[in-house]
Amino acid sequence: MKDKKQKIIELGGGEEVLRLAPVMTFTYSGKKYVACTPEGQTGDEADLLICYKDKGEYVQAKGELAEELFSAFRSRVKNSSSSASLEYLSLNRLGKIGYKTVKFFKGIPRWFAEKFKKLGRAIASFGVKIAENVKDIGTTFKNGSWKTRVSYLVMGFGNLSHGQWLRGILFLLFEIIFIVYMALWGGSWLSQLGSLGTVATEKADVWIPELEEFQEQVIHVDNSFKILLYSLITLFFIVAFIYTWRLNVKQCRICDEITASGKKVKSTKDDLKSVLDDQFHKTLLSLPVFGIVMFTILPIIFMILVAFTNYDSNHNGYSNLFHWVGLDNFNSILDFGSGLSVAFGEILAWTLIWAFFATFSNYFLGMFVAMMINKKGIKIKKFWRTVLVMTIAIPQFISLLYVSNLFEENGIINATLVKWGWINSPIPFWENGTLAKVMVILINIWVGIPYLMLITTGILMNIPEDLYESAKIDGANGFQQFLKITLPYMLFVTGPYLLTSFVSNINNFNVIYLLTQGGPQHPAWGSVGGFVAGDTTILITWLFGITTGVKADYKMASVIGILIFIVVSVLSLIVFSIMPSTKREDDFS
Amino acid sequence: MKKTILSLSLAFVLALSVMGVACGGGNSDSTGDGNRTYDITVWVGERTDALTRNQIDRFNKTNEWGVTFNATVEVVSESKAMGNAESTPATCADIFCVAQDQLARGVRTELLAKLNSASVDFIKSNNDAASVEAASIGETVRAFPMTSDNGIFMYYDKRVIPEEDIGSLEKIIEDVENYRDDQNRRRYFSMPLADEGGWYSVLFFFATGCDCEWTIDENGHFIDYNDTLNSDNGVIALRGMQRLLRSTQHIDSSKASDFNAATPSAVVISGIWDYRTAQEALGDNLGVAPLPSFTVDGQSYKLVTYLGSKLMCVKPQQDAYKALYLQKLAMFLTDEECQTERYREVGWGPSNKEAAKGASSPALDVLKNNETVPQGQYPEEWWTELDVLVGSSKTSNESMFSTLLQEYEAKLADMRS
Repeated sequence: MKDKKQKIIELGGGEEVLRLAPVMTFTYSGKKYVACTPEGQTGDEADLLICYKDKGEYVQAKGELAEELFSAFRSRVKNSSSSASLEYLSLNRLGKIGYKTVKFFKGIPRWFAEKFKKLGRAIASFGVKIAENVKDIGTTFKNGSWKTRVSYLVMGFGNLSHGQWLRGILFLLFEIIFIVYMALWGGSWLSQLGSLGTVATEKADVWIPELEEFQEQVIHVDNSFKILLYSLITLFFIVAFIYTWRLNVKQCRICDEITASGKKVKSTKDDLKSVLDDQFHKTLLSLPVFGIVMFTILPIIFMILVAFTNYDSNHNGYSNLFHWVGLDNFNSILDFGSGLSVAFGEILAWTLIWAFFATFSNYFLGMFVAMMINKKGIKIKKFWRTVLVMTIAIPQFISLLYVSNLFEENGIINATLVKWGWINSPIPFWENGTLAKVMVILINIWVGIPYLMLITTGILMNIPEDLYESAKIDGANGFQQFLKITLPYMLFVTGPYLLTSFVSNINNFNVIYLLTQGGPQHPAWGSVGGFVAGDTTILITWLFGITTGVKADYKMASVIGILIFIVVSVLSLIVFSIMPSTKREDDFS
Repeated sequence: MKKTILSLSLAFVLALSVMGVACGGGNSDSTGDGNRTYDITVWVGERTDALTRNQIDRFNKTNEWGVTFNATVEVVSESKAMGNAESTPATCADIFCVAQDQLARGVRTELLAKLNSASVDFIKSNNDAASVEAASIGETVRAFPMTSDNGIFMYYDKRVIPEEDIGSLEKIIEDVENYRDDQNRRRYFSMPLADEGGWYSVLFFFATGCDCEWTIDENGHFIDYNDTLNSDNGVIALRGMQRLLRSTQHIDSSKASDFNAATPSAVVISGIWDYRTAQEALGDNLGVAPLPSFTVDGQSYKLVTYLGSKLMCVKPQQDAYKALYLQKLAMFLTDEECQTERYREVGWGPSNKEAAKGASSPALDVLKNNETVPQGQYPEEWWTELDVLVGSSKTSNESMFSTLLQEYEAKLADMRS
C-alpha cells in the first residue's frame, strides 16, 4: 500500500468528466484500486470514490464490489502504520509533514494523561494491596491461634512455637534491635526531623591552668546534616521493620494453616537448605540490593530532600544549622521574570541546543565518514580507520585542554593566522559568546566522530547488500538509497544509542568545562543569585559552579539536579515511545 | 514463604548497619588529660607543603609544652581553602591558609576559632599594621598573617617597552601595538579586566577617587556599603580602561607564562607569585615596575595597587587544649623564622616586621617602595559584578557608561548578607 502523489484522475467522458484526487492506492484480490475524492475536497468519507483501471480507463466501482472495496479500504486505513486518516491521505508531502508534527504535539498532553492515568492506577493498586494486607492482618488475628496472636507483639513467637528456630530467633532479634535502636537513637533523630536541629554550637571560655590562659571551647550540639541523614535511615529502618512484622504475621498464619492440614512445617534445616539451593539467587542478590538501597537510593532521596532546605555555605548544618523552606527554592528558580529564572531558562535552552547539535552532528558526520571509508574503491581502509581511532587513544581531557589552549587569543592558531597575514587581530574564540558556542560544538565533533565511525561501521556492514541492489535496479540514486535504506536501518538499530547519547550530552560536563569553563561571562547574568554563569554554561556545569564556586549553594544545586532529571526523563520517555526501535520491532528483523 | 529467611537476614543486616551508623560519630579529641598528642590536618598553598612539614616537626621538638602534632599537610590553594572548608566543616583542616578577602566568609560560617589574648598580642606586636588590619574584622583579630605581599605590579619586556614609557598606560599600549619582532610576531598586554578581573579593574576606579567600602558586622555579614562608583569619577575610570580593553593586543590574563605563549605578551600585570616564572621567561630582559598612570581628557590618574595578606586560620575545636595548642602552632608557623624561611623558599613577602627587613627582591621592592591601598573585604558576588560592568563597557558607547554604573549600583543592595 502506498500513498499516491497528487495526480488527477479523470472519470467519465465528454462534458461530464469528474476530476478526482487520489487518496490511496491499495490492492484487493490481486487487483489495484485507487481511493479518491473529487478534486478540491478533502477528508470526508462520504465524498470518497473507489476506482480501478479497465482497458486503460478509470472506472468507478459500484454495487457489491464497491461495498467490499470500501470495507477493504477502511481496514487498510485502520491498520496503516502511519495512522492515516482520510484527511491525512489527501494531503501533499509538505502537508503530511505538517499534519504529523501537529499530531505529535497534540498528542503530548494525551501521552502525559495516559502516563498519569497509569501512575494513578499503580497508586490505586498499591492502595488496594495495602488494604488487602490490613484485612489479612485483622483476619489472621481473629482466626489465628493464640501463638499467632502473641506474635503480633513478640515477633517470631509463632515460628519458635512451631519449631522454626532460625526464623523465630531472627524475627525476635530484629524486633529487639529495632526497639533498642528506636529508643536510644532513632526516636531522637526522628524527633528532630521537623526542625533539623535547634542549637548549632555552645561556646565557653575554658581556663587552661598550664598556660594560664582562657581558651574558647566550641561544643557542636545539633547537626542538621546528620539529623536529615539519620532520620532518613531511621525511616528506611521503620519501613523494613513494618515489612518484617507483616512477614512475621503472615508466617504465623501459614504455619497455622499447615499445622491444621496435618502437614509438617518447614524445619530450620529445610530453610538453610533452600537458601543455598532453590533460593540461592536471592542469597546472591541480598547484598547488592542492600548496597543499592544504602548507597544509591538513600543518597538520591537525601539529595532530593536537600532541595527543600536552605542548605548552603552560610547554613552548613554544622556551625550554622539549615532548616526546611518548603518550595521556596523552586519558586526562586521558576519565578518567571526574576534574574535566576531567566538565567535558568536560557541555560536550559542552550543545554538542549548543545545536546541536539552535539548528538546529531556527531551521528551524521560519523556515519558519513564510516560510509566513505566503507565505500568500494577506497584504498587502505584500515589506515583511515586507525588514524581516526588514534584520537580516542589520547585521554579526552588532555586533548580538550590542549585544544582549548590552541584557540586562546595568544594561542598557536591565532598566532599562525596572524603570521600568515590572514587576520590582523586575534579571533576571540573563547571570549565571544556565539563563537565559543560554535567552537565547542565543532571541537566536540572532532572528539566524537571516531566513536560514531566505529559504531556505525559495524552496522553499515550488516545492511543486506541486496536491498541496495534492488534499489539500484529501481533507479534510486545514492541519496535516495541513503534516505530510504541506510538511514531508516541506522535509526532503527541506533535509536536507543541516539537517545542515551542525547541524554549524556545534556550532562556532558567534560567538553564544556575543559574547553570554556562555561565562559565567557554572560553580561546579563553576572552573579545572578550568587552563581556565576557564562554563555556556554550548560545545566551540569552550572550545577558544578554552584556547589564549588564562591557561594556553595547545595540547595539550588539539588533543585537544578531535580529539574535536569525531569527534563531528561520527560524527553527520554517521549523519544523512547516514538522511536522506531521500540514501535516497529519487526521491521528489520 | 521461602524468602522469609532471606528477608529476615537482609532486615537484620540493615538493622545492624543502621545501628552502626547512627551510633557512630564518636569524638576522638583529647580532653586535656595529659595526653598532648594530636592528629591534625593542615592545608597550605602550593610549593609550601614540604617546608610546612619541616616546620611542624621543628615545633614538635622544640615546644615547651610537650605537644606533638601528627600533621597531615595537604596542598590546597589559598583561593580554594575557604570553599573546601565550607563544604566539609566537620572534617576540614584544623589549620588552613586563605587570601584575606576570604576572612569575612570564614567568620560568617563560623569556621574560625576565637583567638586568645596571647595570640592576638603576638599578631599585633609582630606584624605590620596593614596585615593586622587584613586579619581583623572590625577590631577583632581573627587569623594569623603570613604575608604582606598580595599586590600587583607590571612585569614587562625591556625590548618592547622603553624605560621612559613605563609610567604611562597609553604609551605602553602603543609600544605593544606597534611592536614586531624579527619574525614579524606581535606582542600582547596581559591584564585581566572583563574576565575575572575585578581585582584589577577596581584600581581604575580608586585612581579616579571612587570609594567602595563595605561594613561588616562581628559575625562576618556585609551589612552596609559606601560605594561611589556610580559617579562622574566612575565614568572617567571606565573611559580610562577602554584604551586597553579595546586594544587588539590586550588579553584578559594575568599569567607570567604568557611571556612564553605562541604570541608572547610584552606586559603582564601580576603579583609576586609570578616573579620566578617571569624571570625564567625573560631573564635579563625582565623589567618590574609599579602600575602606570592612565590619562582621560588630558588629566593623569595613577593606578595604585592593593596590598593584601595571606592568612593562617585555625578551626574552632571541641577540646580547649587542642584549640590552644593549635594557636601556639599557628604562632610558630607565622613567626619571624618561619616567615623568613617561606620568603627564601618561595619568595613570599613577610608580614612579620623583623622578617620583612631582610626580604628584598625586585618584585617585592616595587610593592614596598610604592604607594599601596589596603585591601578591604567585599562580598563574593561583588567581584563578578565588576566583571560584568567592565565587560559591558567594552561593547557599549561611552554615553552608556552612566547607565551601566546605575545598573551596577542597583545590584549592590542584594549583596548584603
